[in-house]
Parts: sequence; structure tokens; C-alpha cells
Amino acid sequence: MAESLLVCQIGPYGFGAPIAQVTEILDRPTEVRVPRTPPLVSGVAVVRGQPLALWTLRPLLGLDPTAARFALRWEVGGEVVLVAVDGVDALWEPGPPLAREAWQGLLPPRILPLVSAGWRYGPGWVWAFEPDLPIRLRAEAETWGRARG
Amino acid sequence: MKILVVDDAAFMRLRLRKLLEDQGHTVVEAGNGREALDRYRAERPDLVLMDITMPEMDGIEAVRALTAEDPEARVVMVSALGQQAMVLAAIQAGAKDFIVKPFQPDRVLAAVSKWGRHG
Amino acid sequence: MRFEEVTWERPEERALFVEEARELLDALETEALAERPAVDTLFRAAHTLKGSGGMVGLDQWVAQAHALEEVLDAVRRGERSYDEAVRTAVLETVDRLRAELQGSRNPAAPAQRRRWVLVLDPACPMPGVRAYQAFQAVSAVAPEAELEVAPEALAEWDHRPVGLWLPATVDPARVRAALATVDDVVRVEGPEGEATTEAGEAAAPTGRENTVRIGVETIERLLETIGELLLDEAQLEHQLAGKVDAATRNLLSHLRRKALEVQETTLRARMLPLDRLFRQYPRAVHDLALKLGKTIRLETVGGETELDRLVMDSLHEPLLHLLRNACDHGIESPGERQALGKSPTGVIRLEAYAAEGHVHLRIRDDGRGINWQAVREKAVERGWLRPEDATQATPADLQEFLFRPGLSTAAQVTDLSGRGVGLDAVRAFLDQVHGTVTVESTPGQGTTFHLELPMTMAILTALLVEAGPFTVGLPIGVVERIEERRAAAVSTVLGQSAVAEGDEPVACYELAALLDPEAPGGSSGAYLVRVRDGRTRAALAVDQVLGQQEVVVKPIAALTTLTPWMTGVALLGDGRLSFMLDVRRLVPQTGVERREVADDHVLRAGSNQMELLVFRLADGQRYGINVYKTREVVVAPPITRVPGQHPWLAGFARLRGQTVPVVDLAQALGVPGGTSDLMIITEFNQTVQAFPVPEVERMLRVSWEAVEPLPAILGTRDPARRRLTGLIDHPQWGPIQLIDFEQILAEVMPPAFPPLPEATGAGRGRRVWLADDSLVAVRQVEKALEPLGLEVRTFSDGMAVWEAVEAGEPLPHLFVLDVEMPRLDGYTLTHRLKRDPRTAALPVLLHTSLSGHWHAQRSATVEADAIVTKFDPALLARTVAGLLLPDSHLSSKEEVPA
Repeated sequence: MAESLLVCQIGPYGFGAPIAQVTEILDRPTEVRVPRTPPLVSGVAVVRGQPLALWTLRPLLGLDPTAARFALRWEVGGEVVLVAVDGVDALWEPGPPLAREAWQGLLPPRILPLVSAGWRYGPGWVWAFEPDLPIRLRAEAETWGRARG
Repeated sequence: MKILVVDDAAFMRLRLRKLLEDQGHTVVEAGNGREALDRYRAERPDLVLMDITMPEMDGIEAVRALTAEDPEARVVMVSALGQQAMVLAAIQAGAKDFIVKPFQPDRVLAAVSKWGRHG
Repeated sequence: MRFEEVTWERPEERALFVEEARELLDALETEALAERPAVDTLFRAAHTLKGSGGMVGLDQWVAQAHALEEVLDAVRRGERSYDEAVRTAVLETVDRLRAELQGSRNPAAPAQRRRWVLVLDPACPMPGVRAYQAFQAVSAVAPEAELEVAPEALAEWDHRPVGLWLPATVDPARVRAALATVDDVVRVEGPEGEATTEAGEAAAPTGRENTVRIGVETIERLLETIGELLLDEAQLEHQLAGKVDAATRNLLSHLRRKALEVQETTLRARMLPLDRLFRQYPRAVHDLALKLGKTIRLETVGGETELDRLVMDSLHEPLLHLLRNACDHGIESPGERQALGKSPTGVIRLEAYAAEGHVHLRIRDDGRGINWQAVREKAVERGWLRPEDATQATPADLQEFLFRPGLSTAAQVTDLSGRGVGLDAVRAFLDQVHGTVTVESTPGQGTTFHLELPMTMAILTALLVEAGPFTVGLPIGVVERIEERRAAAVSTVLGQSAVAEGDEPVACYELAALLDPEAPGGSSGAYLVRVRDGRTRAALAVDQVLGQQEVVVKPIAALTTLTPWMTGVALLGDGRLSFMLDVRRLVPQTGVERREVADDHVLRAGSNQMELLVFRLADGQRYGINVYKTREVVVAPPITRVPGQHPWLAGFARLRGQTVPVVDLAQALGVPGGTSDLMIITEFNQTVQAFPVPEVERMLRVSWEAVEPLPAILGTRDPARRRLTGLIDHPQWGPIQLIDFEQILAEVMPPAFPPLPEATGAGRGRRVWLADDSLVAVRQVEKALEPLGLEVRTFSDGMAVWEAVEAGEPLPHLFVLDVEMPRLDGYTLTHRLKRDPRTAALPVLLHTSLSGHWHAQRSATVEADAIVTKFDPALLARTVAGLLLPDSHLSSKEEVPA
């Protein structure tokens, strides 16, 4: 994958968001929790008059919820959502990706369907998100109740 | 293939350049419709990727002019959502196809291989 | 010369020609399909078309119009009758002239062209362009190809399928190969033989209005900008509040009004008259009927009703489907109809009207109606309905199943309606736009589908409230009234907190709890908002009512499936976000709706449980009254004493327009009195009374088994002593005494005994077992049944009756049972009696002071043979007679009297 990634952190993990999908980075967005939604939905934030869903991946990583420090404005297939991250690092062009078997054990299993490739990055790792992340998150949210029983 | 990328935003041209060069294509650039005409005559590319809204001769006019000069010209428009009417006008003026922004690399490459003049 | 070859001096001329021609062609078509067409009108239209075509030099046009004119003239002069052939001639001419208008080079008779349909990928970002590209690709293979839609229309195209006319002689394989080169063309359907009506863009509206075409995206952008303008204005008001003078305030207010006006106008621009859709249907129905070998006429009424264009776009398919359904399954063949004495022409009536912010659509056919039995059987077959429930299921219950995927009761799935687009698509569309549908059907007479759609979804007047940490908006249309909670009812019905609405209970919920079930409870809303959304009614308890406001509701795109209870969010002036609720989806369906009664396991009939309203009197003792007898609990209104009234009567109070006696419990029970802030309103013997109490403590669910008859009073026939009916020693709350309100009331206001029915002695020799814990009631029943000459044996509670049955004593011919009795209540006893082979065949009459709809429901599940409300001796006697002596002229099987 020759496309650049925006490297960011969620908890102790490094992730890469495909740059074609990320159109803006928001700083400490004001969010309002939406009742009766699974913890994946951190809330809703209003951006230039438009209410956008704000997703957080922390529950999938086994992390406790926190307020979003940054939010990536993610656009794919006409749909726009926000994805919360704790830190934003840099634009990076990855080399050839590592074999999936090499790293999939390093990630909590619930996050795996969202990740397309992985690399070593400095002393750590970076995992790229699938471009249709919002759709996968939605699917995850809809089955949330059932999965946890 | 040799591909002419036309867009008034340097950043956009850069991204497309990287994408196409990685696939082994040669890329030449133009920043508006008028430049595009000049570069086209000089370089005779196999395909043109052109943004639809540009200063100093927009995409539709440019397509019209290009195809008037070279009826075999292959032009694919790059457009934002919500510009359906303009894209339709461009197609009627001679463009072959379109790609929407933000674009997905595989779509760009698919359009290139479909419409570009091979060999 | 052909139309497209004409050189016009000015574009306005062309537009005018087209507009007029289209109007005339539409008029021709509509009139031709009417039941009794005005031939003069038809003739004149054909004549005018010929004339204008002639002026422009359109040879073939003139020839066709002339031919039609001749035919119609012959009809006009009486030389021939207006028959099917004439109608076909008119319609075919209309088709051909229309085709020429669209610029076709080859207006062959429709039979020589075939219509193909391009279905585009819904995810495609520019469907109009793709359609055009498809057209280009196909034109390479078939130069005579024609798009059904003008290219200008494609500039704003959405994902509707696009029609393409190709010569019949073209090779389908080449066409498909050409189309395969175009992205996003999901499916190609074709070719279809006959001409079908356009389902595309409308022509210019009738009349000489100046119109401008404007894309939907433009309107959306306008609306968004205005929305932000309003927001800024509201923020300005908020920030400047109190700091500016009157003149500035006025200016701000004016600004706001103007912005709202612009918003309203823009939104109205999105509203279009339903005629746009309706116009194409008569023709479609006509053609459909031909295919089916039937004659069907479609009447449309109310086409001027306006609907949001966005809703209307997605309405077309479902509506068409309902019409197809009516033609296919509803209307019978002409032969069948005549055999039934109906006119051979079936009629479908499509009616639209607007009411209260909703648009109503009714599709009514006079066909064979829905075969509910078949639906019943299918539902059982599919496991949606248990066989034992099936017999009791009414059409109202079965309606639901019509809209489930996979239900097709047609013997074979016909090509037209059974193509996998079931009524579930209609339901899906309605869910998406927050609409509803109901079905009525009479076998042999016809079926009516009634759709209700919101007029526009974007802008609402909302009632804003605060519930817990949430700010929430309710569409003003669903709000019935708002009241302070204290003044309203505090009862539970079947385990659910409820308030009274007239005679019926309405479920009451803490809105904060509905929104966040996991939040720690406790917040007890101070206000009740009564809402009604279709069949759903509820009272929502909220903390604060912020008032009414116009808001623009914006859906949160990614969350629509996750949050069906929310239609979107609205930005308030102070920057807060308010959630806009869809009441119907928020309120749990297992509220106090009737058919859910059976789901409440605990209080299902025969469970021997009841809810007790527990309160304390000034003596510090706890007392209880069965909640069913309680109408409501209110803040004590002023009491008026009347001279000479009974010492136990505190006076009279006005309650909702009624004058209600207020009974002093403390006096009646002989305990010290005190001040009372509250009053319990009860209903006995079909009258209303009030009892002041200092405080109401709680609701308790207890079992009748736990109620002990008070030993010291058992057997005492002294009515002055028996004012308590039993005692519960509650493990948590200690001794609670149940008050015999009936007894107290009987003393205060002895019921007048209406004249007894004539002594007939008709029941001599029959035995009746009567169970009631209230001596007063026992006496009343005995007196009432005296004329029938029955042998009445009394028991003071249900358990005593059961014990007698178990002991093998000779059984009676009828059981007359009170409901609330210690140890074993009437419902449970009935349940047992009906399940025991010894007594199953014996009739049971439930005699109860519990009035209201609730109990009719419960007894129905309990299989009692009759319920009679206390106290109507004549009715009781008649009912008893009816149960015992079915051939008696005294008989009447009645349930709860109105």
C-alpha cells in the first residue's frame, strides 16, 4: 500500500488512518453522549452545523472510556463520521506491510476486523485502518449487545 | 503510460503523481485549463486526469477545447460530490469518465487502465 | 418535418409549444381513461394539437392528430360509439406524439421498440452521469437508442431506474455487452413489450406559472445556511440578553422572524403536490388491468395535497406496489364480479388529504377483501403465531403479518405483485419516513390501506424538556397536555405505573429512565407530559419543561439504525444539543395496551395477587386498599360540608366537574383524626367517592393468600364492627389492615334497592354458590336473586368454596364469585374451577366492583362465563337466569356493562 497514513495513538497503540479518508483533525471536540448507544459511540459532536457521530475504539481495545482529545473527520462513500484518538503523530509512508500472522496476536481480537495491515514503527508498531472503518464500526455496534450476551 | 494531471491545487497534483508514479507511469502536470492545452500539445499524453473546477478555463471548457483539437483525447474528470450537472456537461463535451473526491487509489488506477491509451 | 428538426426563433417558443402540447396530451390521456369521457373535450384537444403542429410544420404529427380527430368526430356525431378501440386509438396517439416531443428519430409504433430499464448502484455517486454514459455506450451498438429522460433531467438524477428505448430488432447480447463497460450499472431489465408510462421527471406544472428548475442539493445548501443563520441569531440573542435596549431587541426579533420565513419558504419549495405521482397511475392501472384481463378504473382524489419531495420520491414504488396488489389480488375478474352482483369494472380509489402535519393516503378497492383465514394459516405455518392464539386473533392483530417478508397468500406468485417486493417494502419505506399504515378489509367488499406520512421531516415545532441529564424534544403534534405530577394519578396497573385518561389507564414512565436504563434511578420528574403517537399513549415524567420552539432536526447519519427512538438532534440557541424523540419507538410496547395484558406474568388472571395502596392514618397504623378500586390520588381540594350529613361524611368536593362525597376514614374506623393533604378517589358500585389520608406510602404487591380474615370479626354479623376485611402481616412493612370500603360506604350512603324483578320462581331447584367477603354484597345478591327462587349458599372467601368442592359436596349449578376475597381470589378460583373436570362445565359469574376495561380483558383470559359489575340487581338476576336457564326469556349474556 503506497498510500500515506496519518499515524495516531489510541491508548498505548499506534494506528494509521489512510490519508484519503481523513479530511480534518479536530482538537478537543465538544461531544454530547447519546443515550442508549453502545460504548463504541462516544457521542455526537457538531461540526459546522452538522451533527456527526463520534466513534471511539477504546472499548474494543479494553480501555476505559475518556473524552476525545482529537477527532479525525473520516469521509468514505459519502458518509462522514468522527473517530476519536488520543494523539496525532505524523504523516508517514509505510513500506511493504508485514505478514498478518506476524502481528495479529499483538492486538485485542475485537480490533482485528478493522485493521488492514501492520508495520514496525520506531520502537513500536503501527496498524492501518481499513478505509471503510465507519461501516465496520457500525456493524460492530449493532452486534454489541449480542456479542457480550 | 504518460498521464497529464490537471488541478489548481498543488497538493492534489502531488498525491496523484505519487500514486501514478508508483505504478510506473510518467506524470506531467498543469495548473489550469490553459496550461493543460499547452502541455497536451507538447507531451501528447495517453490520458488526462482533470479537475472540473479550475480558474482560467474550467474543466468543461478545457475538455471541449482538447477534444476539438484531438478527437481521440482521453480525458477523465475528477470531481467532488454534488457536481453531477457539471460532470454530465463534461461527458457531453467529450470526457470519458469521472472519479469522485476523496478518491480511492484503486478507483483511480482502474480508470487509468480502462481509458488510457495503451501502446 | 419532425419536432426535433424544427428551428425555433426563440427558445421560449419551443418551451411554450412543448408545454401546451404536453398539457393537451395529458388531458387526452386522463379523459380517455375516465368512465364516461367527454368526447367533445377529446375532440377539441386532438384538433388543437393538429393545429399547433401544423403551424410549426410537423407533418407526421399532423397526420396522427388528424386521424384521431376523425375517429373522435365520428363518435361525437353518433356514428360510432366510444369503445375500447377508440380508447386505444387515443392512447396510442398520445404515446406517439409524446415520443416525438422527446426527440425520437424513429417514432415507430410502440410495438416496434422495446423498453429497457437500467438499474443503478445506490452507492454510485453520480447516477445521472452513469445513465448518460450507459446511453452513450448503447448508442454505439444501436444508434436509434433513446433515453426516456432528457439529459437536462439527468443532471439532477437520483438513483431511480432509467428507461431506455431500443429498437426491437437489436441484439440483446450486444446491448448487455455494451452496458457492461459502464460502471455502477447493477442490473439491466429488459426488454418489456408494451409501452409503459414514464416514471420519471414531471413535465412543467399546468398553468402558465413561471418556474425555475432547481436541484435538491441547492435547496439543501440553502436550508443549511439558513439554519446556521438562525443559530447565529439565537446565539446573538442569548449573548445580548438583558444588555440591549428595546429597539435592538425588536431588531433581533425581526431578524429572527425573517430568517424563519426564509426557512419556511425554502422548505415549502421542497413540497410538491402529490399529483406529480398520481398522474401516472390511472394509465398504469389501465395497462395492468389489460394484462390481467380485468377492467379496473382508478380514481384519484386530493392530488393537490403537498408532500415533501424527499418523502414523495421514495413513496412511488410502495404506492405503485399497493396499486398492483389491489389490481392483482383485490379486484376480481369481470366474470366473478358479475356473478357476485358487482359491476364488472373494478374501482380503486386513491385519496390524499392533509391533517395535523400529516399526509394521509387511502387506497381503497372494491374487490374481494383480504382472506384473513389464509393469513391466519400462513402466520401459524411460519411460526409467527401460536395455533392456540390463532383462533382468537382478530384482523387488527393479523394486520401485522401482512407486512412481513415472505407472506404471500396468492395461490401462485404472479409476475406483477409477487416479484419479491412484498408489503414489507411498504413497511420499510414507512419506517424510514416515520409513517404508519393500517389495513381495513371486508370480505367480498374490498380492502383499504391507510398510510399516514409526516408532511415534512426537517423542521418541527418541538416541546423541549429536561429529563435527568438530557435535553429532549418532542414533536408538538404528539403532546396532548402537560401537568404537574403531584396532581395526577399514582396507581399501578398490572405492575406498571399508570395515570388515568378518562376511563383508561395510560402507562407512565420516567423519561430519564427510558433514555438511560442503567443510570441510577431516583430522579422523579415533577411534570408529566402526556403524549400520543398513533396508537401509542404514555405519560412521560420530566424534570423541567423548557417550552416550545421551532427547531431544525438533523439526523445523525451513522446512528440511524442504532437509535431508532431518535429522529435526530436539534441545535438550540444556547448551543445545547437536544435529542428529538420518536415517541412510538421510545415507549416500550408492553405498556398498558390491551393486548399486552397477558404478558404480565405476575398479575395474569388467576395468579392470586393484587397491588395494594398502603397509607397511614393519624393513628400511625398502616391501612391498605386494592389499587383496582382506586381511581387516582389527588391533592385534597376544598371540602364543602352539608348540613345534616352523616357523621362519617367530611363533606363534598368538586373533582373534574363531578361532586364527590368525601368520607372521613378516621371517623368510620374509630381512630383519631388528623389533617389530610391527599385524597384517594375510589370507585364502587359505579359511583365515585373520596377518602382523605395524610399520606400515601407505597404500592405493595401481595398475594391474596397472605390476607388473613380478621378472626375476632369473623362470624360477627354486626355491620358496625365489620369495617375491616382482612389483615396482612407483611414481612417488611408489618401489619396492614385492609379496609372494607364497601361496608363503610353502605353505611354512609345505603344503596337504594331498585325494584326487584318479578318473582318467577323460574330457578326453583337450582343451586347457586355465592362467594363474597363483604356482608353487604352478600345481602344484595341474595335479595337480587330472591325472585328467581334459587337456593343460594354463601361462602366468605374463595378458599372455602374450593374446599367444599374438594370435599366432594354436591355441586351447584352456578358459581357467583366476587373477585377480591381473602385466601383465594375470584380469578384464581375461576381458573381452578374451569380446569377441574368436576366443575369445568359449570358456569361461573364474576361479580365485582372493579370496573373498567382491564377486567373484561382478564376475565376473558380466565374463561368466566360472565362478569357483572356491582351493583345492578336487575342485571345480575338476568345474567344469572341466562346462565342457568338458557331458554328463559329473562336470559341475556352480558359482560361488563358500558
